[in-house]
Amino acid sequence: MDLQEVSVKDLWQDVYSAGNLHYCFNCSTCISGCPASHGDPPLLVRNLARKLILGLEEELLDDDTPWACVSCSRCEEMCPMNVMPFEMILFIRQWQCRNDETRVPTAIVEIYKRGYTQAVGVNTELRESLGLPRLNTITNNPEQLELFRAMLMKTRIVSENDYMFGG
Amino acid sequence: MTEDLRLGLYICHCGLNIAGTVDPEALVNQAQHLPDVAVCRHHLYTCSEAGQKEIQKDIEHFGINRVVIAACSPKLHELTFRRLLIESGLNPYLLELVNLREHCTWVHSGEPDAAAVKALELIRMGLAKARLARPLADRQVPVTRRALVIGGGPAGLRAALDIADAGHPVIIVEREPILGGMANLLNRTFPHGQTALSLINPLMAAVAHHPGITVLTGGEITEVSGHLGNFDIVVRQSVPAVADTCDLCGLCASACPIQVPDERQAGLAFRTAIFLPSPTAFPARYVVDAAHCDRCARCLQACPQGAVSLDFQETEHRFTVGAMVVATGFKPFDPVGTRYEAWAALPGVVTTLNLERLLAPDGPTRGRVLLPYSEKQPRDIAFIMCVGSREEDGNRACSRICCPTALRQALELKDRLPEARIRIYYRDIRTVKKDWEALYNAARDAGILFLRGKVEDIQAAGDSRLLIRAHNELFRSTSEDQVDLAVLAVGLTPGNGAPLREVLKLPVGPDGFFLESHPKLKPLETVLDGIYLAGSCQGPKDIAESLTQASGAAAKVLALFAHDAITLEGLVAEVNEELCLGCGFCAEDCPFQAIVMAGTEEEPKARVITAACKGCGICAGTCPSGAITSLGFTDAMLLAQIDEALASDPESKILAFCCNWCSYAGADFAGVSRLQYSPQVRIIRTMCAGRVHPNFILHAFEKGAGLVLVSGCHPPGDCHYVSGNLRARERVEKLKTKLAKKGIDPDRLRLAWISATEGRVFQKVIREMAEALEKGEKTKRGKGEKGNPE
Repeated sequence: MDLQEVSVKDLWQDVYSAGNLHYCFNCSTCISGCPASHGDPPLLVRNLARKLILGLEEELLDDDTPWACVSCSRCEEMCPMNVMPFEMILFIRQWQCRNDETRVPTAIVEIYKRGYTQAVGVNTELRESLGLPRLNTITNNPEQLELFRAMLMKTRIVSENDYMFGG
Repeated sequence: MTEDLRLGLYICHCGLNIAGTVDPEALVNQAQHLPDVAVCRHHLYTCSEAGQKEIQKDIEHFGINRVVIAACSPKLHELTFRRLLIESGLNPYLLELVNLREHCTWVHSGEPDAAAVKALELIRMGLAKARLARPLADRQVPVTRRALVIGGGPAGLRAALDIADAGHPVIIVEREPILGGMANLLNRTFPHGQTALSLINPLMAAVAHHPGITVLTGGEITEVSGHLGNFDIVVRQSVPAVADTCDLCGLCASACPIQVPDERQAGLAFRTAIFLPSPTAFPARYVVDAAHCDRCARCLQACPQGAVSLDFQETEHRFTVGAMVVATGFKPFDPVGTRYEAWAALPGVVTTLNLERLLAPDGPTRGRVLLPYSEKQPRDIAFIMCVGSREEDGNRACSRICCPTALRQALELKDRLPEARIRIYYRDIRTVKKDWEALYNAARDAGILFLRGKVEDIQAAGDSRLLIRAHNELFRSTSEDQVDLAVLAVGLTPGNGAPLREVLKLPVGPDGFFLESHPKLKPLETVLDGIYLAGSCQGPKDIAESLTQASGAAAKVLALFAHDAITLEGLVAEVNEELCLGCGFCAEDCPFQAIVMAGTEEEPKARVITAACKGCGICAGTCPSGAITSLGFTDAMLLAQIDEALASDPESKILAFCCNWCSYAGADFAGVSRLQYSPQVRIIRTMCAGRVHPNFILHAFEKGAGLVLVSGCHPPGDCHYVSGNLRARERVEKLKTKLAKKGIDPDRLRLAWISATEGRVFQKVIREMAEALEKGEKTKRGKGEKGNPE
């Protein structure tokens, strides 16, 4: 890991403007409550903050994990230093897209396909066995899913890359 | 000749605390016919005013001359009842307390029958000891109301001023030619950035001009003898080469042809052999560095005042003081000889102390921040924290002041060189005191980069740059970084007190700093009465803390000086010169230098300096001829207690010697916590585990004791008498081999360290021993059955 970049410019100040990232002291509270930290690859909020501070630009541009965030905002609630980790994730997403206009995060393809970010359908059988009602998800509602897809198609990122969304 | 013994025995109910388990009335019925018992009573609360009145009346009406009170721990009411005896006209040492509550009824409440048997035996043991009690005299030691302060840094200056301002003369001895200590090298202080000069100079000036303070700079303590109230001190002082008439014109230095690296300027500038050690410190006077001066005498000719002489004479001062404050300070960690040596040798690497000089207006660069040996300003700067602190080998402790020092320096650098990129390689940032966290936050606001992980290597990288390789903890990889200037945040190591350590014989902790008497209850005292600690000679401290401790130490000295004489307990050692073999073991083992070998050269005899004696009995525990009597805990007394404890059913007994300060108190704590254990144990109190003579243990086994326990404070540092626990360990280990030879299973003797708070440990040890005893008896019985042909 080369820290030379960091002696030239402060990358994090170009990316993020919700506070002072130097206040992060690696406590990991952001990770410990994060539902996306169990994903594969895991979303490790603290590591993102460090990469940003250390100016590891190339690594960060290629990193897809910020798109795994489910926007629960738990990290933001728990952060003892008020460095606004959730804001940071949004800032990183924006910065990644600003840097590469052709970037289509895999997360958006999944949203288009499923209608939501997370795989909420995974516990269907378990729910049934426990006698719980079926979740009224958009996947179970083909009409609404079509409407949702049509809406997404109106955004630039999806319409310009429609070949990726199964036409 | 033999005194008519009249024992008064008082058994306390302590409400139901004792009476709830055993019947005091029944105990009275059993005990009243024991030999020499003149009066025997029970009372609901013996410590109450009514209970005390009763004892007082008995002393008057029945001529009671020994008082035995079977109640609670002597820790609680020994002083109460000693006072009662004094008021009743009896010597206070003719008292014995039997600990029925903590050591019997509370811990055996589930076995009232066994508790009753034990209670009577404990009473018998107490009576046996009381029969041998003799009147003892408290000691009066006169006090010389003059204090010695060793070290003229911030702590020494503060202590000297506080004592002198209260009207007592003070002598302050400083090894260097100037006062001020390490503070002279600092530019600014954390957390507020005040200059060190503005803090230390008023103190130095006040001391230098104080009519009650004598300053001996260039002086060294060579001898200390005596004790609390009267220490005889010898100081060797080099006579200043430049007389007081020096008006600081500096012509001598201009004339001097010699050039040596200036230690005050971190070796980054040169000075002459005759030089002014500091432009601001007291006493302001040129000094001659005898080691480098070649006696060319050009300075002599140059001086318009004729103030210079190159005779290099020494003078000796002898005086007596009543107390002393040790304030010998610290030394900054020296990278030479450690894994940091190669880094420190690189031209772009400095220590935090060197950096103070680079920032100082009177430093080698006149306060301009330049790279060493160049005219270039640093742009990339790295601080390496914890250099010489928290090491696996070497100094394990946190030096505490390096974090705020580095943070303040980083902020000053950022302020003076706004273009500089500063990073701090750290393990933990510890900003624990008032206003320190604000420094940390200010550093983050200033954009200083904090990198967590160990620096593995620093190398020259060409173009006068430095390559820093560090482990990044988070990404578990090695990072590489290039800087112009690397600052090693060096820790604090014990000061120049090593020769002093020999002279004062003050104990030091495992970290090499002087050891306080107790970390919480006696943080200013040392184990040597009348010697107090101030500042970083006791452990890393900032200036504020050093001054606080100095004022505390001064208050201790003043409390001592408020009296004409000091009263000390009568429990001391006494030597029977007829029995003394002159072996000197006692003098060797005494942690307080309270025994000297007197007598003639052919026939040396131990002599106790009673004013210095603490009554631990370590000497009596080692004496091979029984020549030393530890008053209040004599051999005869302890043997009589052993005999009573083992009078019936000895093989089922656990005889436990417990030191007063830790193990006995630990057993008390087991009692307070109602922790149940086997009633087979009989505790004998000694002041120190070092009091237990191997003969006591042998005697116990001869009497048939099942098991013997010797217990004291945790080694090495917990012992109330410095090293009594270590002596006890040596003796027990040696005795074990001897036991084996005598056919006694050495496992029947056990050594245990139990602190005053470890009631559970006491319970565990006794339970284990009781189990071992039971097992041993079973095997014995088993063997007996097998051996029996029927």
